[in-house]
Amino acid sequence: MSDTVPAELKPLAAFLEQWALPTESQRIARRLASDMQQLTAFHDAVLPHLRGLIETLNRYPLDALPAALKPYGYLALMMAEIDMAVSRFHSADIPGGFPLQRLHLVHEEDGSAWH
Amino acid sequence: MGSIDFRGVTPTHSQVFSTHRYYAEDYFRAEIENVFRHSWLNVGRLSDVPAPGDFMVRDLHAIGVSALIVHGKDGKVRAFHNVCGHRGNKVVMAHTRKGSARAFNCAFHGWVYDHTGRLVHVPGQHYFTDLDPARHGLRPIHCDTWGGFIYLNLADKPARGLDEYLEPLTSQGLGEHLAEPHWHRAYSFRAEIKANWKFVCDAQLEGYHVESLHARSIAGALPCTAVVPTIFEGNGAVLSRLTIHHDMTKTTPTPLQMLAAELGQGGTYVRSQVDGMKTAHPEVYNLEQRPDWAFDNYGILPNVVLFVQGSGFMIQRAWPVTPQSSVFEMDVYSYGAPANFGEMFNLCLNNYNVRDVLTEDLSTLEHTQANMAHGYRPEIVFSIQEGVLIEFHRRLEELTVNGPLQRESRT
Repeated sequence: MSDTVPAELKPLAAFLEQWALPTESQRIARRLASDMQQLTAFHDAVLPHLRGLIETLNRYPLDALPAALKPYGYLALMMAEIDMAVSRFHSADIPGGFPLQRLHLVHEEDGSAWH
Repeated sequence: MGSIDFRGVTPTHSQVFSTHRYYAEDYFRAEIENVFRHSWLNVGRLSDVPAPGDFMVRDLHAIGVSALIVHGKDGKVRAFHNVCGHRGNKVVMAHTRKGSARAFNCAFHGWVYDHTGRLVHVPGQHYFTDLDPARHGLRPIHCDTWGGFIYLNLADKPARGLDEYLEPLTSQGLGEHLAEPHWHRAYSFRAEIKANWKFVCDAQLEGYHVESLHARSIAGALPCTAVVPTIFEGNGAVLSRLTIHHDMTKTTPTPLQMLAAELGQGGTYVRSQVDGMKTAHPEVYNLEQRPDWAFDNYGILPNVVLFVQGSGFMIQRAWPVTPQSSVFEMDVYSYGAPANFGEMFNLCLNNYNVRDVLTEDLSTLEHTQANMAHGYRPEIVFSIQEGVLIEFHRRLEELTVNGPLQRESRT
């Protein structure tokens, strides 16, 4: 039961292979390796399902999230990663910005609680 | 302490400023000696060493210290020079940043120190004639805590205690607020910057840049007209407060920010629309109790900018490395750890938004540094909106040029 994926998440399954990445560093790399067409297409396709995705995952305590649902959490965090790229910068990187690759991420919120 | 004024004054003038302070070797050396080695330095949180036996190492090479910070069995947090009393090796080697230990064992010859820095074991002590263990214990560094932060002071005798050093924030009640146990480290990142450490501070101590540098990201929500600079008078370490308000008429959250605000905790750039969200003691930080208040940032000498929001806080530290390079640190804390995925999503969205905006702030520093070092621009100019920078550099200059003794005699 705990490893079955609820029906409302099924439309998102097609995005998992390319976009469900477990760490922030991987998600940054995916963001920077994508063009705006790819980012926007992913963003716009997942956005209508995002509230439902979060509400579904909220049925579980964070440290007891079923393994089958975790990739959907990574998908939501990929959406968070590209939020400003899509809705503010209209560019995968930050125009003129200090390179994201030069930041050392020493503590990621998503790095410990539920892996 | 009720007479201490934490309202401050508004800057009134602009000023031309000499740029040699950003690259001159001798000026940098004087800053290290007279400012950094005589100031209280914020090096981390008590939650970095939460239990008795926990320790961490802070290597601040430019300032001339490797500090071993230890949570003792008696509950007291102490700091020591991470230097063995035998032949001067590092007692805790550089690759061990944090951990837990019953005692500290130097790898070179096996000398052992306890949590209070006492030398408790010397292998083959009979090889030494009249060894006095009391003389070879770890050398202590002045260490104190405020607001849940750990501070060090390398002076032989600090000119003032930490509570006084951090006035008027101590009287404001901010220390007690930030010391509460619910604060949770939500994010940390670092960067090596090829620019003088003061450029890293400068970037956060004025709101004038927002309209231009952040035109794409946050200028609509937090225009520079919504940034109110305040200077705390005197020569204290707590320099300034920038109060930042949301412009309610222009705030247009992204679709994800909107969703996050509807579901739970807000962030730096968006307000939660859920009633009763986690927050505490608004009277100690939202001083005017304005509904459109977004956050305050406090400039604290020598190298800290502290951002205080209702649902969290962030601390930026800028560490000198060479006259033309520094280390930038940003730690983000939230009100409690996330209990479910939605709470984590909101934290991560805020973290990534903040991170992206900060890369805009960091974007100018290395270009400016290169330009300054070429010497074509011996002077720059600060506006009234940048009045905190005028005062920041004035206070640093006094300490740098006149030295710490001057400072002590004046107070």
